[in-house]
Amino acid sequence: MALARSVLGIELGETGVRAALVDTFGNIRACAEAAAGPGRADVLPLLEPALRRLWDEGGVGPGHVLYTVLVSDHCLTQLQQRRGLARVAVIRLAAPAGTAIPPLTDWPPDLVAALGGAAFELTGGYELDGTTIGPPPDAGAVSGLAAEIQARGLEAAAITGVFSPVHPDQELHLGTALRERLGAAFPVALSHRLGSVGLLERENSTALNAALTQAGPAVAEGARAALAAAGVGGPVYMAQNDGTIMALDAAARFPLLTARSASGHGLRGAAHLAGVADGLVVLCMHDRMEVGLVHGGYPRESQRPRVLAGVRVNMSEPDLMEIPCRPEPGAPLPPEVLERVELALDRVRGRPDPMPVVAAGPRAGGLPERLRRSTRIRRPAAAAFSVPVGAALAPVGGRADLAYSLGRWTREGARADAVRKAVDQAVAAGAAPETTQVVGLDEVPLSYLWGNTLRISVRVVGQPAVPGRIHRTAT
Amino acid sequence: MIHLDDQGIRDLQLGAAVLGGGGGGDPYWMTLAAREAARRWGPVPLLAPHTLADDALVIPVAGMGAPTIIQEKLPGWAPLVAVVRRLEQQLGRRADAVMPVIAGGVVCLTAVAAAAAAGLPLVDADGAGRAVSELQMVSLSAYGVRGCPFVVANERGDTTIIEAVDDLALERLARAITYRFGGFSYVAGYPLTGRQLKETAVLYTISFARRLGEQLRAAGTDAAAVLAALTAVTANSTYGACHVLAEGRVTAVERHTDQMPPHGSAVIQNQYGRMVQLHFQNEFLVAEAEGRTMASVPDLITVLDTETLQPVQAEGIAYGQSVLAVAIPIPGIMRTPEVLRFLGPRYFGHDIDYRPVELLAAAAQEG
Repeated sequence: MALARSVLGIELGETGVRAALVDTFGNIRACAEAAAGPGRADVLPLLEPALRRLWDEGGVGPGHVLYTVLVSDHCLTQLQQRRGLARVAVIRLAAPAGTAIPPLTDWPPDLVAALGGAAFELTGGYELDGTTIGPPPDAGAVSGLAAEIQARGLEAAAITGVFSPVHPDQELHLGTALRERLGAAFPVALSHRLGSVGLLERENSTALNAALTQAGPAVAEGARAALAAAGVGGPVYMAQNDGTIMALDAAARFPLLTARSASGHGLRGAAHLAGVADGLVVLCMHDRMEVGLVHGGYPRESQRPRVLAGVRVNMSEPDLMEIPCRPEPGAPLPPEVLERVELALDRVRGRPDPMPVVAAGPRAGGLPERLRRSTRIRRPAAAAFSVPVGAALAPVGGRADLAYSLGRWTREGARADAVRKAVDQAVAAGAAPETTQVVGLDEVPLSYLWGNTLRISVRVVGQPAVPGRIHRTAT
Repeated sequence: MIHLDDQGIRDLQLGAAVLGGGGGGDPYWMTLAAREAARRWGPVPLLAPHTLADDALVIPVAGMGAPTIIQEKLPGWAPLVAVVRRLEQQLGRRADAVMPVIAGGVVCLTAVAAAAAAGLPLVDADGAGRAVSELQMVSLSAYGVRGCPFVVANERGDTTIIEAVDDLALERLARAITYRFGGFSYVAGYPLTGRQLKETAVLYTISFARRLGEQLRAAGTDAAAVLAALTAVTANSTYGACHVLAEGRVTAVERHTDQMPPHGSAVIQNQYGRMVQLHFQNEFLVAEAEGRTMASVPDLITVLDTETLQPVQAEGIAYGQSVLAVAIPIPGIMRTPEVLRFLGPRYFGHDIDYRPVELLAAAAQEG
């Protein structure tokens, strides 16, 4: 029987490689894994045996793969272990604002050391309404900065300006000016592409992204080569932290946006495997339980800053309650962990109405069939493969989280601008333009400012721009 | 004399959040600024109010505006110093010390950063002993200290002096200017002498907040130890022993986001099914159970998350949270008719008279 062409989801995790082949109607064609031995650092060599098992199991081959989505935690591991990180010029355009909290404040000292501890506070930045706070650096200042970056042997730059998510031009100008002096290939990360309003957390994200200047492309290149060696053709996408995907080339430039992606895709995959669009998911991992919520097929996002490698960041990530524990494989979870899982389920649910609860992840077997207060726990077949399944199903994503001063914008104009920016991002991440759709739009007036200022966040998704792609609605 | 060093400022962050009573903003960023200030200029001396000369000049400082703005436009040194210097210039004399306009939330740490940057000590006192939402809701105003001359400054270097007819007009003007100044501003006003301070301010609130933070931190994440620490620190202070309002889970939250400031209510249910309702408007204002008032403003109602044992902001209280809600009696200077006029439950639309929390608790025990 001829099989429909399918999407290959691959999870490259610390414990091994898991792969799932999912057809464009959402049916699971095959799942297979290759577990890492103790102490193995690089799981990429396990890709080939995992795929061989996948082909055998499903009676399929590389020719059935329409495109591939990778979930990799390699960059997160590099940051956590302070290995293979670039020395970064952390540049802030804010002075005279921001001087009381210099860049790299509240960082673990060893991570500051790994990045070279080079912070530059330049004048610049904008008020929300577009008024400049300080004059942006002139040509002389930029040349001085470039000379110092060279003299100190810094390998990448991270640029963050006040209110750049709304007014990105100073960041763009400085990035271009630095590249004119340091070479077109000099890695420059601009904060308005990496985080939302909240300068310190966005600056942190940008610096971490710049630190992954070598690690990000290395993951992309390694994966591309391993897939080619296994005979898998077609476009390759990377899983993003927010539960969407982005093209491999884009992901190489924004490694931080894909560094912690397993949870979001695990939530989506678990809900799909259980056949629910709205539900609570308990992801049972090797060293922790994660409880999250899927709404309309999408993981609900966190509004709070989260900590990554010891640093506060504000990139888009699912809202998760984490419970650290190291369950024995196959053994039931201890009662105190179950109690905390139950409390977390209630917290995440956010209202008293019952919702389906799905258990997934490699340790899903440790959960009982029923918790004391909750409904029955659904444990779908292939629960251990929720991450690669979720990645294979995920749409390409783009987003915008912006603040608008309504003295300068109409409400409709602000909304249209935010949507346009999110659509542009989705297309840049590899979405087919004609398939993009808005899946989330929130407007919140800023407190104490009489509703004159609006914060708008927009999420846009689209189908991968892949030849031979079959349209389906996002799950 | 106590000096606020790095650890002291971190303890103050936690204590100031508790005194926020659900409002006052998240002091995280301003705490980073205060710690950086102590690193640069040394620990900040905390002056006991009784050591102030009667004719000493004290300048209260604060930040005002949208918390979202200051999280993006992080604080700079210039306006923290400028508000103090500009008010000195206006008054024609140097200040002897700085104090926070209010001890709850972000403002407390703003004053620590300003004192360090201006090279002045901080007085162990404030104008409320808690967080309040408007400039005129302070003891200083209630007992006749004038808010003006009042300085507003921003990072760009803009400053303005307000001379308003009264403190309510001052509040309206300062907030309008803050909007034009970029949505967050640094302010200094209610300049007062040492004698006025001793007569009108809420005394020893900063050392109280620091000790509260220190003891809560030491108690860790053990709920019983936290309650014991809260009780011990409040009982041995100018406040008075705290009263537990509820320990349980949040089973309902209602918010009216269309109104400014946003207000609403949360219901906490304990394991026996007893329900306590907290009403909030920026801060937690009134606690009631079975139609009886358990506590109300100006007494302090504060909520801790029992998983993290961190204070919960009213805007962040959420269904399913496990919480401990306590009421801390506010010092007597904040319980007079002069203060209740603008900080009693009626001012916020609750049709009840203020009764001190310890009397309400005793009455409830008698049934």
